Amino acid sequence: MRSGLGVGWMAASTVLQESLHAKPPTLKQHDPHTLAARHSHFPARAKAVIHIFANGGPSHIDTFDPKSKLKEYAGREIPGALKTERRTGSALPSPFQFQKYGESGLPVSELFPSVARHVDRLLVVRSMHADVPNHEPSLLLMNCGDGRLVRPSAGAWVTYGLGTENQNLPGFVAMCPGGYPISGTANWRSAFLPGVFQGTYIDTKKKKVDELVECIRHPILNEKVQREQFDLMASLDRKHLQQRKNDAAL
Amino acid sequence: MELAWRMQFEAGEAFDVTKEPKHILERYGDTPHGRQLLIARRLVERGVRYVQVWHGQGQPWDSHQEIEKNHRKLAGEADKPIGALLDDLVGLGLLDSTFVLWGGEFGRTPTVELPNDAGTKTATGRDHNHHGFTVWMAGGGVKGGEAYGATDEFGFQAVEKPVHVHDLQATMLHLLGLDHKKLTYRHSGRDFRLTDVHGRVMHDWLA
Repeated sequence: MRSGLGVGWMAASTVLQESLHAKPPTLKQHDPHTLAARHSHFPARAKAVIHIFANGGPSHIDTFDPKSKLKEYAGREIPGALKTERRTGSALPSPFQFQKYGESGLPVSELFPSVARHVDRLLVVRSMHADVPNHEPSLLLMNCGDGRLVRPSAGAWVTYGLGTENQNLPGFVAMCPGGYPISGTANWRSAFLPGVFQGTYIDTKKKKVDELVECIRHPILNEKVQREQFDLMASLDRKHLQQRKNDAAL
Repeated sequence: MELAWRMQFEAGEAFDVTKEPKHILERYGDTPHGRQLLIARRLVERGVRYVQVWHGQGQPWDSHQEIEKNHRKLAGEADKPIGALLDDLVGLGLLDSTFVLWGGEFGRTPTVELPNDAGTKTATGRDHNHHGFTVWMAGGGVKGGEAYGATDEFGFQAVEKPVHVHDLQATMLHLLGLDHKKLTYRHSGRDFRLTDVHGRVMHDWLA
């Protein structure tokens, strides 16, 4: 309950800050517990991130990294084949055709003709590697920078660092139709960072807005009455904080 | 709580793709992946910082068997709306300031996965492969029309200019104007960061 009030007050103080400062505060000045937009360490090239996660592990050799040598070795053992998680055998050539696209002439398989239209805008990194051949730790490595320990997600770190531009929407949204991916909410957790930075999950299998965004409407109170309730709670919270000499833990 | 109150005013509109013109909806397709990529565009337009779009519940791209059929189906769901998203980001002038990243948690083996002892699997798919895989990115200050690094001649292992996941993360933060070594949080007696004690900013990727 107390933490709930705390978040309400912190967000309310965000509104106050926004109106007092013409420019967003820098990383050092800002209250790290709010979503208020703030300056980066140095001028940024990107303001936002869209991470399209092809979860489960798409095959690079069937999409963006063609290997004609596999045809030559079809049905035969690959020299120097690495150990794999499950037992694997001979070379399996891609069943998909590759074609060169754009001015750059980068090859893309027949699986992605629409993405291929944009090939001259893509940087295709073909030399990625991770630590282990298992989904859970690899998902957490990609999202949180560590495969085993409880660490905040990249989206949480980014919103912690920069805040967000629109205070009426979450700063970090994670969408997945039909339920969670493997490793669930850990993929967009805030861990030990303040809870405001965790991803807001949306089940995009649902189509109606009231179902898509859970609890978007209060079942009883209208917006004005809710505002009054928040203001009352915020004033009580402020009093609570003052009585405890502005204890940072609150 | 406060955010939930404020979301009542704007989230309903932001997440409602039904009001998009018909020709836009058709370009993305009325599928979960189509709708969520269109929502992603709408969120970025409205100043949301970080949007993650998952293909589906569980691990849909995990094609241990029948990779031809499964990857064709999955790419069939993903390709058109990703193309539409890139079209729109370009058209709206947002691609320069939006870092788009596509990829999974790893790639797949160039060798065929063998049937299991129970005989319930056929040799038609590929196993997990963390030794080498591909991601692509666009916008937000990265170069376009280039391939970086390479796997060996069979696609088993990253051999030329290998890139670890921490390097990707350090570079993404760099594009956002954040120094991955300085973006820290003190917890349990020490400073933590996304890349722990690792990560290199890939300056070769910057436009």
